[in-house]
Amino acid sequence: MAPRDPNKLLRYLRWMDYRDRMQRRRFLKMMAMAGAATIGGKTLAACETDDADDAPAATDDTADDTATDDAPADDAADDTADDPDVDDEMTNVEGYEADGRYEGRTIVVTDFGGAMRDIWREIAYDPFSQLTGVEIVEDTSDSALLRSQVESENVEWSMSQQGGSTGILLGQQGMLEPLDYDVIQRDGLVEGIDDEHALGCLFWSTVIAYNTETFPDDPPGGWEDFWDLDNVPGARGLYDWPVPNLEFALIAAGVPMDDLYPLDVDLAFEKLDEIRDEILVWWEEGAQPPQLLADGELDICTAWNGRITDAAEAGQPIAIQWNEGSMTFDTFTVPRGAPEPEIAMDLINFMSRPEVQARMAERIPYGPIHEGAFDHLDDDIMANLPSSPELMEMQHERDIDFWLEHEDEILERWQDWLLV
Amino acid sequence: MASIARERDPGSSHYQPDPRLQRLHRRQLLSHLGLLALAVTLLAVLFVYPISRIIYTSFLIDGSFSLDHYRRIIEVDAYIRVLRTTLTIGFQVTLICLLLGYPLAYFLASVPTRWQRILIILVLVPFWTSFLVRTYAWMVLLQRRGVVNDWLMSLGLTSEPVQMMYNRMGVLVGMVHVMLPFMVLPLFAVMIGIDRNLIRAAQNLGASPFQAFRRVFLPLSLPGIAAGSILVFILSIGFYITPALMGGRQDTMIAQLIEAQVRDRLNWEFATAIATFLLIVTVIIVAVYNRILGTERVFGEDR
Repeated sequence: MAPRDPNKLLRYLRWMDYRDRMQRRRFLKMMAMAGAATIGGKTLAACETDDADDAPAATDDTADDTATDDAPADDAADDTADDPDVDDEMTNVEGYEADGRYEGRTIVVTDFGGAMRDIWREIAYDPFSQLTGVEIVEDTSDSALLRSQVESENVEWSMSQQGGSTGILLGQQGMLEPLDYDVIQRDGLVEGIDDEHALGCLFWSTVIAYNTETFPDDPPGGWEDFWDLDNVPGARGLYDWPVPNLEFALIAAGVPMDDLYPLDVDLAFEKLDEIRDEILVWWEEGAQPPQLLADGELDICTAWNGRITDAAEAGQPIAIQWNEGSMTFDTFTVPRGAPEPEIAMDLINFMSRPEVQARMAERIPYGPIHEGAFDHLDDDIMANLPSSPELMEMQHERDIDFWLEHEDEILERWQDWLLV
Repeated sequence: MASIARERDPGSSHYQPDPRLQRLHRRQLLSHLGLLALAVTLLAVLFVYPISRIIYTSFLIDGSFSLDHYRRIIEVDAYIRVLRTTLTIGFQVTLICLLLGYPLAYFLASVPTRWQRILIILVLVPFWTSFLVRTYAWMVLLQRRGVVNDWLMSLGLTSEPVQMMYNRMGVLVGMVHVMLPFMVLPLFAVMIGIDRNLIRAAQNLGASPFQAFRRVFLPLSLPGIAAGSILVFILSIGFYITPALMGGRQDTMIAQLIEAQVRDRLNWEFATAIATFLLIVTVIIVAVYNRILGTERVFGEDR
């Protein structure tokens, strides 16, 4: 292909080189154009977002948009009149006035998304925005992302909701600001939820859920029945995580609920041996149990209470056995080095007020962390709340400190136990 | 460019490279390196640095150097067991994908070009649906009171529902569905480049159709088998949503353990140690595999 004569070869190579350079130039030009287009596009997009002033998670025309920089608080109050989504009552929380004290400032808060986010937005984020003038941007909680934000000293979140033990663990690892209990009022809060770095935000329970068609008259009464394979027939499911299955095994073994902790791990695994091969599904996601029960895949299964009440209200043949349930809480946290920590503390205080907590419990069956909230609630609502006095008595509370200390070794043992 | 000059050398011993030519060579070489710079920088920033950080982090405990994480992985049975499960599932998925994908790719490579386009799109359709949706769709089909069991029972093939989920079978069905295109596409790419006249020539020389396939077509398609298998295997061992949702208690994969350490235990040092351990094991397996199947052919070396 290449010419044999050296001079011709040289010419040929020069020509190839010229062609290559031309191609390279064209390539670089194209790269430059692509780069410019990308940057230009991004800038344009950024401008557009600025114009719309849209919070990433705000799906519709909620008060996020109305309470922008150029709309003062009194303006915003007008707008709410025609906005059916904002909870007017929640702007009447004791201790809060429409003073617009954080006018022109913005914070990013995180929660677990889904139905819970819509509720928090209506009963807490938007009312707090209207009262104080702060703009609230929503994002989704992620413990790993929180840690990486703190470690890279690039924290975006002012307030972040986390699981109970996750919140306390993050605090122990130095990833959180200590909570300012001068701003956050502890009077009236349920005892034992005010960690130095994490405050309980709601109670939830792991309970026995069962299919009401399988058990029309005589529902399983507790863990002893769950373990009783002969007299309580039905396909069973458990959560694929040692917490709180070890508690349940000990209750089934006859340990009184008040004396569960410190857990007798050996006894718990011994008891779990009895039913291991009879567990059809080891579920991983909270959405699974209601689905499995409604489909008839399972007859009796552990589940998170809120999901079951939701499915039951939607007409599924599922019910909860509250007896011997395991109760615990999620937490509010403030990442270390968070922007606007004082607004975050104020928001946490707002969200833990009895009025807000009661409204939350009305909307979704999670337990209020403020004793005062129960005064605002009807009996039929109370019947589904994990922390209502009546249901609390039937259940036990998880000892988070015990788990933080022993979870590693128990988790390894659990994993091994499942595989063998 | 260099090869052109070298081609000249052996035939004519009197030929001396022109210095101008050498300058040209150097310029060419430099310019080619310049073009590589972007890719090299990207690789260094997005690949070499993070991997080094991960490996480095895996030796840390409270900021000081330690081998304890690795000791824990080796001493606690759970980790090795889960690793074994992970590799077994990876091999099983790869094998099933190969058995299903090879005939499919062969068929694709044989039909007219017009049909190929349409059929390739069909192969790619699974990519258009969310991964989670596909997994849940399988759950609806395969569960005890699912569609497949309904059919089986109404046809009288079985009186009891067959357990097709929450065991290894569920994991394999779900994962093969996701992985099949990764096997079919490399196989197809290689097969379409195989000259069918070679098969005809073989048959002309007296080979039976099976012999022609086994001794001519199959060896020529080996690079595709190698590429597809490696791709599927490596992607499989990092899976965790499908095994988590469709598997039983004995189908835990190592990605699930890493996730638990990252999110729940917030022990990133240990998580990186498990990840590094998996990386080392994978590299060893791929190296051995390479030795056996000669994967370098995939990258177009000795043809």
